[in-house]
Formats: sequence, C-alpha cells, structure tokens
Amino acid sequence: MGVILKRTLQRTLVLSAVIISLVAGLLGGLVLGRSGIVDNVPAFDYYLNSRLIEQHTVVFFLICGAMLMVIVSAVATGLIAGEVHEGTFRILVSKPNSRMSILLGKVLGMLIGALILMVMSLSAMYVMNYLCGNYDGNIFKALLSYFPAYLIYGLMVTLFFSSLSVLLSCVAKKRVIALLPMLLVMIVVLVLPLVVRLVLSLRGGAGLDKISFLDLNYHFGSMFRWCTDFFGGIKGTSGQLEIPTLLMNIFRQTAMDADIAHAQNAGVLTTVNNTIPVTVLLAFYGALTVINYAAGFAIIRRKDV
Amino acid sequence: MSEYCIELNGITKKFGSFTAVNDVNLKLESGKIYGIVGPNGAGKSTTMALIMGSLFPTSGDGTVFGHPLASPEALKVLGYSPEFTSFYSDMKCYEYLWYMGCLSGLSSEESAKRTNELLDQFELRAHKDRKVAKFSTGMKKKVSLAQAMIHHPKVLLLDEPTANLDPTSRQEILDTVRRMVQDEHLTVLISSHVLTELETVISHVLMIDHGRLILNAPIAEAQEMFKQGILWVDTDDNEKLILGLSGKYKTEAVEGEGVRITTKEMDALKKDVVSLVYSNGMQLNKLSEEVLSLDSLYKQMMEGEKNGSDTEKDASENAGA
Repeated sequence: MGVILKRTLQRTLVLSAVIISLVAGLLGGLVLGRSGIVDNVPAFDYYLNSRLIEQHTVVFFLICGAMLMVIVSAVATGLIAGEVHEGTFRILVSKPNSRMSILLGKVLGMLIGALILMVMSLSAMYVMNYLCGNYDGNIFKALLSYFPAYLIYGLMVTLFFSSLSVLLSCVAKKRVIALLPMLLVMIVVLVLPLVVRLVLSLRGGAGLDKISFLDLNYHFGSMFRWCTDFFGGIKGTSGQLEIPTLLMNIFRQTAMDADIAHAQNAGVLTTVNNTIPVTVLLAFYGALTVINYAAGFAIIRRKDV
Repeated sequence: MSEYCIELNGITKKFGSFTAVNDVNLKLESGKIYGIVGPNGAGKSTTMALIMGSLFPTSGDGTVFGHPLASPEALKVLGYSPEFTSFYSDMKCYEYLWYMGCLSGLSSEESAKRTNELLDQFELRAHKDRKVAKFSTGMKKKVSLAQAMIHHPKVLLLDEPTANLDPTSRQEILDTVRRMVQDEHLTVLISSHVLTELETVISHVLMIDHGRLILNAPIAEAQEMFKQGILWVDTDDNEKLILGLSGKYKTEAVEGEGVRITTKEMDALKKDVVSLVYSNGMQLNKLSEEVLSLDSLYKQMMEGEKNGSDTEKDASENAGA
C-alpha cells in the first residue's frame, strides 16, 4: 500500500497542480493585500472585520473552493477510472495486494497531496497578503489565527468531494465519464445558486434564503462559518456582511424599525441564516462521505477489469 | 495443499447474455507448460483473467495452490503478462520494474536487485532510462514478461506473448520463455494464435471454443488421439496406384506432389503401397509420412466442433419439423 500511496502522492503533486495552487494563493493574497491599504485609519475592530470577511471570502471561494474542489475532483476521478481506461489497473490487480489496500493507498495519497497543496496555497496567500498590504502586527496575527480553521474546512471539502469522485471513478470506465458528473455537480449546486442569488439581489433581494436546500454555497458556507466560529467567528456591520450574505447566504438581512435603527446598520439587521442547522449539514455530508467511500470500496472489491 | 497448482471447478463467466467461459473444469499440474488455443473470442483471455483474478466468475470457483482465485496468496505465486500491456506514460523502464517489484511485496532493495537481474536477463540494460511507453512492441513484450517474473512466481500466465511481433521478435520471446521455464522450473499457461510456435514450447494442449474446454491432453497424446496418418506417395503411374488403393483408403492426387493417402492404419497402408508398387513393377519416387501438426489438430478439432453443432442444429430442426 505504501508504494501506491507514494506514487499517488507524486501524481497529485504534479507541477501543474502545484502551480495552480500557488497561483490561487498568490492571487488571493494580492487582492487581499491591495484592498487592505486604506487612506483613513479606521477603528481596529471595523478594519479587522473587513479584512477577515475579505480573507474568508477568498479562502472559501478561491482556495478551498475553485482550486481545491477542481484539483481534488480531477485527481480522484482518475484514481481508478484513469487506470482502468489506460489498462494499467489490470497489471496492478495482478500483484499480490488486496483491492482494498490498492484503493486505500490511492485515496490516502490523494488526501495527503490535497492537504499539502492547500497548505502551500494558504501560505502563499498569507505571504503575498503580508507583502502587498500594510498591516499592523496585531491585525496580521488575527488574520493568521484562522489558518487552522481553513485547514479543517479544507479537509472537510476534500473528504466530501474526493468521496464522490472516488465513487464515480470506481463505477466509470473512463476518467472523463467520472469527471463530467462532478463538473455538473459543481455547476448546478455551486455556480447556479450563486447566479440565482445575484439576480434575485439585483431585483430587490427578496427571498434570498429560500433556495438553501439545494444550495451548496449555503451548506458549505454554514460549515465554513462553523469552523471559523472556533477562532472568533464572522462579525461585522450589515455593510461588511453584505458579501457573505450575497455569496453564501449564511446571513439574512431584515429591515429594522427606523426609530431604533442604528446609523451604522443602515436600517438593516443582519442575523445568521439557520434555515438548516449546521449540525444537520455536518451529519448529512459526513454520512454521505462515509457512504460514498464505502460504496466505492465495495464496488472495487468485485469490479471486473 | 492441493496436488494441482491451478484448479477450476465449473467456472462460468457471462457478460450480459454472452457467455465467454462456459462451465470450465481444469486441473493444471506443476512444472508443465500448457498451451491454450482457440479462435478469437473463444474465451482464452477470459479464462486467464479469471485465474489471475481481474475478472470474477459468474458461477463456479477455483484455487491456485489451494488459495482462492484473486486472493493475495494466490496472486503471490502468479505472474501475469497480458496480451496488451499498458505502461505508465511517465515511467522509465527501471522505475517501472522497480515499482512492479515493490507492488509484488519485495522491499525497495530486493526490488532494485531483481530489477537489475531482469534488465540483464531480458537485454534491456541499455534502455533502462527510457520511457517504456515509447518502446517498440517487441521491447514492451519483454518488459511485460520481466514484470511478470519480478517476484519469482511459480506459475506464469502469458496471454498471446507473441502477438503483433515480427518473426525475429517472436522467436526471441519464445526463446526467453523456454529459458525462463528451464531456469525457474515454472508452470506456464501460454496462449497464442500461432499454433506452430506453441508446438515447440508446450507439453500440454488446452483447446477452447465458444467458452468451452474441448480438449485437455498432453501434446503427444492429442496428436495420437487425432492421428489421421497421411502418407505421400509418388510413382511413375499414380493413376494405377490410386486404382489399386481405392475402396480401402482415401486417396487424392495432388498436382506436382503425388498422391495423398489418409488412414488410421499407417503400417498396413505402407505394406499395401510397397506390395502394390512391387507387384506392378512401378517406380517409387517418394514415400513420406506427414506428422500431424498442432495447426492441423486445431483445424480438425474446430471442424469437429462445427460439425457437432451443425448436427445438433440439424437434429433440433428435424425435431422441430
């Protein structure tokens, strides 16, 4: 199993994947660093919350979103289907290893590889953010303190998307056949709700939280918030929380009574959107991950190659 | 522990409604070389894949040295070279063989040592740093054989090892197989379409058609079993010879070759021919016996199978009428 793990790790950390992860991190860091430079010196909390919300958004969408999901899906769908299609799997199963240990070696290699890419990307983001920004040491320390939260969330994303990809890879006979449903999932449940929400917002913002049941941005946004809550959570004014509200739907804004409305909140009260409790989401995606992996292992045990 | 190295008990493999292997019972003894022959789609590769464990039987089971098919214990004693070996596009020859050694349970050092041995044995040393995927077909076959041998298996399964090779490469591969069998005392199951080549290598013949095993016998016994002796005779008066033998033997005049006489009683035929030639004062130009080749045996078996199924078809049609 060890030799398969090492080989899969090498294949996960190919030059193109390393470049993509570094570029994502550097790009994110550049955007954050540039937007962190302000003319007026704002209040510490206000400034920190703005930077945190921007950083969370970049990590959620760019690093643990697009970069990690695409790389994990691309690698994991090829783990079995790629070898079956190329004909190398037949030789692999002719060697004295159980099929379970072959798949386990491949999955662990891919997971370790994804974790390394994520660490590289996040590190690149922090370095670039620090170099391009003009941060007070305490602000940057506070930004850095969320690193473990991002890792935990990234691991959750990796486990779920890899489980689905591995299952498809065990069923399909070609990598592309396994990859297409993954792309479809990403478009339908990640991109489409985002577009719908943006359109709804442009048309008046009504019913923003109504599409949460099939909205993976909301589901994963809630889990992301759960991870960051251990390190201080996402705080901010209505204006600052507009971005996560719009993109992830994890907050909802309600018009306040004008008499008691605080000027800073612009007459809007922002509350957490708990349409689906995060514990339910964690249990659901956790169970789905276990089921996907179990099904993949069961299929590969008796698969004709 | 079973006395047979491989045992298949009523093994059947279906792909949807198509039966690729149909109720095959097989017992292979250690130290022998078995040739598995049959037309395209007969079930040769499927049978090998079932033994090797890349395919699972629809019904029936089997063992390799007493271990269930596809178990790691069974795979430990098997070496397999498929008809079309695919290689990792990024791996060089040395790296590939080393990787295969590690996958076969050798330590990194053992695998490196064995890889070096095989590179010399298969004359691949000069190409060890080249990517295998870019090798010629003949060299790929060698690498495929080498990876099958990397862990000193007791049984070697070679699926069409000479397919798509030029005559020189074919001979080279077969010589390598012969040498390996001699050096390592292996049991070999080898399939090929080029039957005349197998004849020089195998000790047993397994004939398979439409997924059914129709012959399992030592090569000499198989030849004896289907011995339709052929005697070629040429005299200065072949017409008289044919006339003299007609009624007792099946004769056929072949332009430029003489007379082809077929019989199961070769000794009696020879006596009759000599007596006929002597009594009629004919001049005997040629008298030679044709040895039955695996090719002609194969044709006979296949014709027999076809006639058998035609007879069955006729019988069922008659029954229907």
